Amino acid sequence: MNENLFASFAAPSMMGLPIVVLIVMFPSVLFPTPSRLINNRLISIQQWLIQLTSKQMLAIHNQKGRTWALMLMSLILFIGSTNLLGLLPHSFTPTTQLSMNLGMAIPLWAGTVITGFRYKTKVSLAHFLPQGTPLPLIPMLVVIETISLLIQPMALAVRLTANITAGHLLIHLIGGATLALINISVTTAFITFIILILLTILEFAVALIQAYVFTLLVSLYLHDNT
Amino acid sequence: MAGPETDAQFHFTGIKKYFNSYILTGRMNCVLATYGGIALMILYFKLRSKKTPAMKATLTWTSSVKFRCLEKLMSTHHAILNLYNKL
Repeated sequence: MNENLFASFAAPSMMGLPIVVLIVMFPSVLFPTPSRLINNRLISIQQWLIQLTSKQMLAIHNQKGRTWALMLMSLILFIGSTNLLGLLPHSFTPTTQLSMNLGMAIPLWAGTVITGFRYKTKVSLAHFLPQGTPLPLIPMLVVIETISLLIQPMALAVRLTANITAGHLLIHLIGGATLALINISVTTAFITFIILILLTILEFAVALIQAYVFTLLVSLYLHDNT
Repeated sequence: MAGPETDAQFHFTGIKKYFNSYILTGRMNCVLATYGGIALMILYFKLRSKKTPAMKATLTWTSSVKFRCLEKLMSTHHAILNLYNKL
C-alpha cells in the first residue's frame, strides 16, 4: 500500500528509457498553432481564453513588463494544462517534481531581479529598506528583506509542488478507502465516494488556481522590478 | 488624503542627507552600508589568527634553532641509553 501510494510520483520510464520529456512536451500538442484568420472552434476558444488572461494579467505592466507577455502566457498555459492532465487516472504529473518547479521558478525570479538591478539599480537597492524605518532597526530590516527576497523562488516552487502532490495523495488515499469500504459498509463507501467526487472537483480548481498564482507572482515580481 | 511621498519634500542636513530611511538615495546608502558592514565582519573573523598567545610562543620556540639542537641532543642521548641497555 505504501509503495503504491508514492509510485505515481516516480519518473516514468518505458523499456528503460525515461519518457518524462515526452510527457512534459505533450501539452503543447493540445494547443495547435492558428493557421487561418478564422480558425476552428478549438483554436478560437483557446485564443479567446489566452486574450482574456493576457489582458487581465498584463494590465498592470508598463512597456518593459509587457515584453514578458509571451513568457507569462506560456507559463500559465503550460502549468495549467500539465496540472489538468495529471488529474487523469494513472497519469504522471511533472509539476509534482520539485526539481521541475525549481527549474521554472529560479530562472524566472532571477530574470526579474537581474532586470530590476540592471535598469533601476537605485530603486532595487532601496527596496531592501522600507520607507520610514527607525534608525536602530535598519540593519535588521535590511537582512530580513534580503532573506525574504531570496526565499521567493523557493516559496514559488514548493507552493506548486506541495499543492499538487497533496491533492494527488488525497485522491489516492480516499479512492483506496472507498474501495476498501465497499466490502465492509456500502453506505460508508458511498459517503466516501461523494467526498472523492467533491475532492476531484476541488483538485480541478486547484490545478488552475495554482497555475494562475505561480504566473501572477512572477508577474508581480516583474512589476516590482520594471 | 496625501499622495505618494516624493524625495523633494524631505530636507536633511549633515550625515542624514546621505543615510536616512526616507529618500531613495538615503535608503540605498543604508542598504549598502549594512552589506559592507556584514562583509567586513566576515572578513575580520576569517582573517583573525585562531592561535592563542601561549600557542604562538610555543610555536615560535619549537621552530627555533636552539630547540632543534636540543631535540637532536636528546635523541642522541636516548639512542646511547638504548644501546647500553641492550649490552
